[in-house]
Amino acid sequence: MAEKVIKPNLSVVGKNQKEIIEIKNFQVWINENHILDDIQLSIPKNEITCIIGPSGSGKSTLIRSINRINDDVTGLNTQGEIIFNGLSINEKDVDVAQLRTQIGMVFQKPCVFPKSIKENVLFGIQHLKKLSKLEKLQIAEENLKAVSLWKEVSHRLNDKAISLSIGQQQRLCIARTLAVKPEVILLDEPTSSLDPVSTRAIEDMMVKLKENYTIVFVTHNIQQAKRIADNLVFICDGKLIEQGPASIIFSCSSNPQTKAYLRDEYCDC
Amino acid sequence: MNRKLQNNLFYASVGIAVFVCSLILLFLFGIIIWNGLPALSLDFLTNTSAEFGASGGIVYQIFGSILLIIFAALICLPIALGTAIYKSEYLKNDTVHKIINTLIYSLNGIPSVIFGIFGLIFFVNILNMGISWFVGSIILSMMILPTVTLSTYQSINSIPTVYRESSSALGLNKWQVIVQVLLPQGFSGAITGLLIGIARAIGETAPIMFIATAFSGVEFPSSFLEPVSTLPTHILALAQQATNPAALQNAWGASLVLVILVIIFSISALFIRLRHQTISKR
Ligand SMILES: Nc1ncnc2c1ncn2[C@@H]1O[C@H](COP(=O)(O)OP(=O)(O)O)[C@@H](O)[C@H]1O
Ligand SMILES: [Mg+2]
Repeated sequence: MAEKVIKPNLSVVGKNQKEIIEIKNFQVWINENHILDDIQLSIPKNEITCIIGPSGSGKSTLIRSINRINDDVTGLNTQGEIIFNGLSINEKDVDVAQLRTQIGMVFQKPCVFPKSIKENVLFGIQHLKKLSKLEKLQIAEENLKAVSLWKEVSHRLNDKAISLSIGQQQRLCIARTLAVKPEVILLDEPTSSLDPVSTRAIEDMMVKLKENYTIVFVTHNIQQAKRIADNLVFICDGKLIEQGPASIIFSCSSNPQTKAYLRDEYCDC
Repeated sequence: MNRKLQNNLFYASVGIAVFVCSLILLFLFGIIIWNGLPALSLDFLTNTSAEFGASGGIVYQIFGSILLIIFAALICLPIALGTAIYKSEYLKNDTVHKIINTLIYSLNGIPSVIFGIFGLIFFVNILNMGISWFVGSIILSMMILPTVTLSTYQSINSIPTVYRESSSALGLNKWQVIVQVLLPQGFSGAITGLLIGIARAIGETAPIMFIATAFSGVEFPSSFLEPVSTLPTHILALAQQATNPAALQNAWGASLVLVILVIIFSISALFIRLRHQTISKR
């Protein structure tokens, strides 16, 4: 008897915990162009969700809607809902800056500020709360270690961040996003301007980070998605073609468009 | 005509243009230095003038000119910064952009004597403020406002969008992005514009001669509402006594000092701009 009562409760709790972001009937127009068409998507917690699709298909537009960094694009209109932790993020009274501390983002090209390495790690967090000198050093060390940059830069934390290689700069950008302690990290083709070694380093890092973070990772590189994705989302021409566990889609997708894209990296939808 | 010849001809004509331009400049500087240098001495720089400038020095004039432009800069900078930030970061409407641009360019095109007349009518006659150096600073700040605003706007607006996005993605609100990211990177543009504006303003006679300066009997002002004497108005006064060789000599001396001040501001502007370019290229 007791078991019967507990079981359904557990599954309800389990389901609620699993999905951290729900995207419902989401549409985007830029000026008169229909960029995203009726996107339905759920993003599970503590997993890596890879969004793949040909260039121009709307991957960036979708991921940039999740932290509302698209707000400043002129002529952009949206319809539908994005729900994060039960909160509909496009409501008028949402504090966007606060939302972005919970949903961090890493961009395609690393963009470090004209400051030192340490100041770059602290750049976001120090505007959110007052930090002592010791705390600053601890935060810098903790997050640089999380992106495996600590060994390389610990002796020159006060050097200009611009003196790092592009791959190191991108890891620094991830570190400064982690320092804010978000729940979700959005990454928009973060390795597309990097060398293969840095790319692998970031892929390995993602797999470690998913223990504590939910990761949404846009890539146009199918092999990369194969290496890291728990879930796969395939977008083509503004439409969501297929979503589901990566292992299933890669091994036995029944959708002809997905199959064609995974085989030829090309699709005519 | 074959292309090679055409090319050489073109090269020769731009070469001649540069040569003529440099020659005129050198000629001007040469004459001012040649005539002004004999008048220059420590006494000339540190003494007050006597006999309507025919003897004595120009310490009040140097002081008056610098006072006017410092306050002009202080008045101009916040207005220029505000306009530039608003235009670059807040204003989305294209029509309003065009209207503001038109206003800025029109302001820039107004002849300087009109500013003087406006100051005379508005501040001196209507507001009854009397002849005052502070009114002169206000008028000069209006004159340099377009230069400073446009220069600041350009440097803020040319900061790549990724800086705005990267910082707002870290949870900074718009105000923090402006203060922490855009202003530090755009500030050199504001300072460059300010120095160029100042270099122009310090040599202006027409806008200040009716409202801010007196030709003789001035001392260090003890309030905002007193006249000063300035280098350009002093040179004008001395030139009117050109039959007196001593006055003419001092006019050349004062001109040389003025030109040196202008060159200092222009070169600092150039220096800051170059320095900033090398920083942003790195
Ligand atoms: N700021 C913009 N203005 C106009 N069109 C845009 C803008 N950003 C994106 N688009 C259009 O939206 C479509 C999707 O772009 P994007 O989301 O960047 O695709 P992806 O990241 O998959 O390459 C493209 O056709 C692109 O031209
Ligand atoms: Mg993209």
